[in-house]
Amino acid sequence: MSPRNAAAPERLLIRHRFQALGSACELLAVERPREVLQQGEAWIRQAEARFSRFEGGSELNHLNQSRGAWVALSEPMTRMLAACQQAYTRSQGLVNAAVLPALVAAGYSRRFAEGVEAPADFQPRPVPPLMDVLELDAGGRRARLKPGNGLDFGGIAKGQLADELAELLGENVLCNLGGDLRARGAGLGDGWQVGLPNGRTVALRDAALATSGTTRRRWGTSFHHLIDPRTGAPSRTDVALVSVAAADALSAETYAKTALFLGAHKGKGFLEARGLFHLLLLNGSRHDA
Amino acid sequence: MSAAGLKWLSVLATLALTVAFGWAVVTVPKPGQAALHPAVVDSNAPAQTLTYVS
Repeated sequence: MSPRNAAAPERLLIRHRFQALGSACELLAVERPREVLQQGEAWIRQAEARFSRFEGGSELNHLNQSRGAWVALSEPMTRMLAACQQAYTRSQGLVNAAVLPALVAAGYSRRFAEGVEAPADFQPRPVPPLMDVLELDAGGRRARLKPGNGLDFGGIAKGQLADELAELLGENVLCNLGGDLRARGAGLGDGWQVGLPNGRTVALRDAALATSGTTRRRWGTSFHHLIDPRTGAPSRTDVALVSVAAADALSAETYAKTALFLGAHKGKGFLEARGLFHLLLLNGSRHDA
Repeated sequence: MSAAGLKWLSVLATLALTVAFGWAVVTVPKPGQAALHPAVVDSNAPAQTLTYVS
């Protein structure tokens, strides 16, 4: 039989699912040993122990409790803080990791699965600019946090970790960390097939996709986890959720959240000005891009 | 020959080749594969994973 007539061998898609970072995570690869993806899970668990505010001995908690003293940083923390600064700059200040005091004031002081309650008396205050709160030394190996402030990495961590893990796992993998995903290669050949919140499917090649929204992690009558730093209160946006594709997951996460905070009209303009593929779903109706 | 002359010569040569060979190449997206972005394409295939609000 000539090569032209021979059936192409079926390529094997390997999938590994687990819970981490307070979310469902999924790693996919083509023609790779399953152990590689299990090692990816172990890497994520180490990262969670380092970056979660809910892990008692985490490096993030050490920094948050340092009361204004200089703190030596691990290399992963140096990269994460650089990601926070990048997100802050690219979002024009709307994606601000210094949101922790506002989150706690809104009642989000424990893991969501443990039950979060609305505060009896909620008096929001704007979140200070990240650059006023967080100081890094010239080499980025030490940081100082102004007393009374705190960091929460939230979606920034998912985006940054999806990017880093995709690089570690090599060619033709997809890392989906709670909906923030980074794809390398073209999957089984036609791109990585990714379902969007409206049921549509898109194929990604060497790209990333992130979704941000107010439809989950809600409590009380009007509280949710996306704090608008301009007010310090849960965003009152007219966007229910927005999915954005970009070259990397940190950028996709940053731009999605920015568009959500800006609201449908300005958010759509923000994304279009950057030539980004996006899907916007409004509260009570639908609007496709 | 001037730059304008060269430009017209190029246009006429292209037209002549198109008439001579009777075809022209037009690229269109295949159905279900409309380009949405350089790295994002609409797809009819089943989803392998989902993006969602976490």
